[in-house]
Amino acid sequence: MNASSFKEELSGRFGWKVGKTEKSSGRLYVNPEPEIFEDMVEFVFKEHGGRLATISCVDEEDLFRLLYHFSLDDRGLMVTIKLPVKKDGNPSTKSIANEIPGAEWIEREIREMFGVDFEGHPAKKRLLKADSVGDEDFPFRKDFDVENLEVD
Amino acid sequence: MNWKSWGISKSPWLYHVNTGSCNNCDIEVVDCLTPKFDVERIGGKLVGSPRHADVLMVTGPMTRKSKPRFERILEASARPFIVAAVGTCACSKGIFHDAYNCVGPVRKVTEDFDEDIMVVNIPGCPPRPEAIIEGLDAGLKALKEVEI
Amino acid sequence: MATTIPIGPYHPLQEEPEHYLLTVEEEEVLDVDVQIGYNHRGIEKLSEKKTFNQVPFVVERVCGICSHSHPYAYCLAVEDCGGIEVPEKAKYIRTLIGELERIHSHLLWAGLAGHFIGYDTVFMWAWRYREEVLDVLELLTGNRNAYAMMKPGGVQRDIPREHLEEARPSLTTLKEKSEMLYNAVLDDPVMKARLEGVGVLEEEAARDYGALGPTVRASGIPIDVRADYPYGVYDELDWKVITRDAGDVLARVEVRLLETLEAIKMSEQIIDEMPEKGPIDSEPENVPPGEGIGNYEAPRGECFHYVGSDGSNRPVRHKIRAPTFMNFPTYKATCVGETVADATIILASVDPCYSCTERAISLKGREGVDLMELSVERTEELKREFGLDESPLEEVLNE
Repeated sequence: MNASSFKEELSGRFGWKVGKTEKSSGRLYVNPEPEIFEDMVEFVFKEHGGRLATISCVDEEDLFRLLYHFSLDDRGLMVTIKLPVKKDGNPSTKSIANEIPGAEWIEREIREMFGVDFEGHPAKKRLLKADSVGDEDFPFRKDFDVENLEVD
Repeated sequence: MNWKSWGISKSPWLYHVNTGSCNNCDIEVVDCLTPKFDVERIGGKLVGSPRHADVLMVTGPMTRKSKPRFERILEASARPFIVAAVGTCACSKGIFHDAYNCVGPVRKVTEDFDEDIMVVNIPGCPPRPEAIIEGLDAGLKALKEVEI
Repeated sequence: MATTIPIGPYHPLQEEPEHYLLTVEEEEVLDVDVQIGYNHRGIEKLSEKKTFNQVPFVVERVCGICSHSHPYAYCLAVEDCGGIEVPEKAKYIRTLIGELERIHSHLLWAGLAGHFIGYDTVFMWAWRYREEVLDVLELLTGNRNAYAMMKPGGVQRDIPREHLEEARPSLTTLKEKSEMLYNAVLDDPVMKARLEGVGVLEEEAARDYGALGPTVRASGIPIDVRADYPYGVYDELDWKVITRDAGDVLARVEVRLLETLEAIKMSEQIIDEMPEKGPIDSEPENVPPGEGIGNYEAPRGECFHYVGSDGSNRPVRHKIRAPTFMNFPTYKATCVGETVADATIILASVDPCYSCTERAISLKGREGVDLMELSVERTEELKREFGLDESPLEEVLNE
């Protein structure tokens, strides 16, 4: 199965730091150690020709989890690299938009909707959020109060 | 009815405004121009500026960002005009009634702006071109009754 | 020095005559900036309030032209999450509606592209023949645009055999007319002069931006979700992935027109091979905790949905990524260095579905040149150079 064979390749390169993985037909989810995250992205994007499909952000109660979805089209395998980001203070992580231009708009949207900062991002400005929603209001967070949002 | 309102009711010039719709309604509005439905036989045509418009065809549930621009269009439009709220989203926000970013429906925004603006509601998701033409017709007939 | 583009009064997405911010020197485009956010309705947040079976209705209204794509991708994600099986007949019905929608979308785009260059005949003609497909869709599903056919585990309604047989003559007419359009476009010297070599997207830039669909297949990259991650009945049909190598606007036009012909061929095969009887819904009881990814080849490219479940009857997270979100930023690579008159057609060649991106264009600039007018003028100039009053394409369509 192609998910198993790709997992073998990842383990071969990164050893135990690949972390826990889950696989099913056509899907592979990886929870790597945060320190090898950038190298793993380079491995999948540059060396294996993975296409960045998108980046999802999930608001779990005590942290945000960023899911980087890469599609290996010739194998029919979707590899998802999960990265936890702590919520307290100023949640932030390093941007991949300088290496992968396609990530620029995706990271801008996550930043304004969830409040996760991407260090090194080339164009930190609003993409979708209306001006009447404040800079510190993050609509996609679970604790966002939708009912009492003002209409001007 | 006076001769002015009678005149406006013939050959309506249409200006299309999209306040955040999914484009289903917008495609049906543009479809009215195509050979099968052909709104040009009643003199309708799409114009490029609200200053030339008799009817504003508004679609969409009025997102936050669109609202100030829509109010600017209402200011710029040549009086008299009517607003046709095309589609369920424009009539009542429809499936987006509880979406955080939608502040419509259209008639609420026009009433807040100016109570005298006439709004024709054409529901449907999307309304068929025949329904849009019928709604336009009803609106123009109602306009004939107004003194300008 | 900023110039203005109104994307024509006939563009269904035009808000008002507002404009891209183009930085221009003489005739050349140096930089493009765009402001968006007008169509953002917060659908991902809305999904969290609805049950799994209600979400397809919300998600259908992400975009009108891809109104089958989003529910299909969502259902694939939920089925991936829960390991839910889909009965054979349901797969056939789903695939048929998907291909008919592809024909509809490509013909719509062909009309708009013709309008942007000034060929209003092409616009009226393509939209006239689009009505054939809409009539077939109305016959099979009950509505011209938002079909409400999808649910996790199958489809909502069955399609009787008589209706399928009634659809056949329309498909035959469409095939003849699409072939005629395709040949007429390729034979027209004015079209070639306008579109060849314009707005080239290099293969490497296409990979960096993660571009999708016909935009990238026209640059020689053969990715297509129907072939790479087979779903529905695509692995049982006889079809091929269409690519071209030039990467310019003409290549994108060709890819879309050929895909229309391929879609007609596939629809006819599906009507021939659809099983007569069988369940259309596997009736799943619940979705176990977990996560699922669904991807689907919409007319514009890969539509990606990610669904997270915690075992209750509502999704915990629903991420939607429409194809235009990845294709649109390629304007940086394709528009810069081109002439101002070509800007409209290059931006439109990506087939942007602004509302799919959950946003619409807000273009701002100052008064000045109308780029749509510039584009039409360029076509008229070329006609004069060739010594033609009416281009050969228009002659063929006017017959």
